[in-house]
Amino acid sequence: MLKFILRRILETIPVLLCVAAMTFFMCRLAPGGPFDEDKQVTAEVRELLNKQFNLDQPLHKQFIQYITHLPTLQSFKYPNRTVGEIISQKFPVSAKLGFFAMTIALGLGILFGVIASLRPNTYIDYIPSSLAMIGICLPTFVMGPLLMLVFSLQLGWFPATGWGGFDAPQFSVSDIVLHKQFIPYITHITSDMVLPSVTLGFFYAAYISRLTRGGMLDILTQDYIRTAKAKGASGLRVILKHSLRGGLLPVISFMGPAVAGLIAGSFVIETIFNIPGLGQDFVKSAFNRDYTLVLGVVMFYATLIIFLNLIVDILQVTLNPKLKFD
Amino acid sequence: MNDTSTRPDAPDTVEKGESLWVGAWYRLRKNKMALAGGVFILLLAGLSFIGPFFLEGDYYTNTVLEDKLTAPGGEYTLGSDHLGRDQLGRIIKGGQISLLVGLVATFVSLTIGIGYGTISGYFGGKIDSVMMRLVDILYSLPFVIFVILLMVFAKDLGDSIDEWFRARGSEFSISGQWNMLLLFVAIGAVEWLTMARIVRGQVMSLRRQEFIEACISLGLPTHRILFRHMVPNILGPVIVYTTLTIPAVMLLEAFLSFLGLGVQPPTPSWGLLIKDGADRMREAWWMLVFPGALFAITLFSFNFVGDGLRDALDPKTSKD
Repeated sequence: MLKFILRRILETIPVLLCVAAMTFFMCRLAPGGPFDEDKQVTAEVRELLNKQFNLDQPLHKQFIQYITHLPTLQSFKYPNRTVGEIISQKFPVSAKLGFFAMTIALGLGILFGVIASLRPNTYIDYIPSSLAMIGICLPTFVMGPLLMLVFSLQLGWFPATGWGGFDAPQFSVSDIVLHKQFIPYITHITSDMVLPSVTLGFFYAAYISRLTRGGMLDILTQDYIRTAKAKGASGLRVILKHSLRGGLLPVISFMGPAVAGLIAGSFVIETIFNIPGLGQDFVKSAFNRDYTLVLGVVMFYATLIIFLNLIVDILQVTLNPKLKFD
Repeated sequence: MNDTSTRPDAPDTVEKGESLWVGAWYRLRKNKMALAGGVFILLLAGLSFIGPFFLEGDYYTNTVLEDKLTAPGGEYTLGSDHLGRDQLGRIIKGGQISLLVGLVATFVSLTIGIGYGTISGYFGGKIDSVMMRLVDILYSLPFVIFVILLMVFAKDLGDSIDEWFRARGSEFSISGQWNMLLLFVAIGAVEWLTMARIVRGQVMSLRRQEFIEACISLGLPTHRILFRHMVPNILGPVIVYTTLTIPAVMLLEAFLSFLGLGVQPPTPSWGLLIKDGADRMREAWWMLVFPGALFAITLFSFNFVGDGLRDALDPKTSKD
């Protein structure tokens, strides 16, 4: 297994280099530059700016400088802030959103999928399965505004936009621990997160429930399940201990693409709900031709996705004895 | 989904090689949801491509500022938008654009996927493992990010190309259609991976069959074996997956347009209409609800047709 992990990590290096090269040259060969929009900038000032950001050097030199010093490079549009700083400040917001969305997706998806698989082709199956179909076909950018319209503008249950993070000055630590303010505190810090996470997670919940249903249906007809039942194992025990491990295999292999999809989805969600995360920044920085930040974010996301895919692969082999690390 | 045992017994006379399609049609006809989806798509295509002939030329850009944000009913069947443009007209034009992008970009991805998958599966061995490893790597990349970058950075390239031609005294102009062309290429270049995998698997299993061996021993040239004898035999799964690719492509187009990267205003696409509606849903719910619902129903229909076709054409592999 160690050999497998090592080989995969080594394999990552040329892939990431290719990603960096593609991103860099795509940015730089396209017309336009980061200072084009400032019309009042004179030729001399532009030259100075170009010098300051090393834009006057040959491309290959810039590329080498970019990939070797990426985290410490300055952003073009946020003066005096490095790429590393911006990412480490903005990513936790996106990560929080992604984490809650994934929790919702896995929790609801597996629950509905298992329920649907227990009584196939009855109403217990049809109701969650049709919900899943709706979830798959309703794009996040339709669902997000609709949820906002109903739950925050009409009913006023949740804030429509914005992002508080974990700060809640009105709750001190002693309040939370000693004066039973725990639940209000949790409600406070999560209320602004409910709609974005549900919107982002719903599609994946739907997809995961379909995968779970299919996987469980395959497993539940196997002989060893019948044996377990014959030996008197309770229904719950059969599901939890004997079937889920095999039934969730399709879900595990879907997790890799799902993570990449969640990141793409966060671009839209962050725009709709005005959440100050990395996704919104990425789209803005591309428009602004903020070369350093674009490259930084792309490399960060690429590394993250490749790394998470590796974890998924390892999980898959550990859960499925039929597979081997090759 | 359907019980295949309900097929009538095969007639005594031998059918002329159309049994797959006849049987598929028989199974598809029994799938009410797939049929309903198919009918809806046909109606929608008719409305968006033939409908405009019965409308005035500026039906989707005609701006009447006094009528802005008119509620549905009356003069504007589906209301008007923030510039007083008829929402129905814009939805029709938007549907035309969205369907067009869906079809053309799917065709691009189909061509790449079939070509790549056929070559990889047919030659096998080293070529195959290198080609498939590449697909694996591409799968693990954040492709949407590249599409976004491509759409942003290549946006002004159309103007540059025009200039290049103008400098050489040519009237050739591409910038008007540039963004659409870019969409076709960018989306098509992303969506071919799964198709390549499916085609490769099919070709590999076909390769071991006798009629291909016969072709080889008859000395047919490789390209003839590939495109004359292989490709027609993998048509079933390809058709199924194509039907499922179209909604994925339309979704990606709407996603890009929603972020302001796809189709450029004043030309509408459903993604743009939904974006406009989301921005103004407080005062004009109809701007969000109508295009959003229509888009969702369209995706629904394509998915149902795709699932139905899978059950009909390939009863073995259909699972749910």
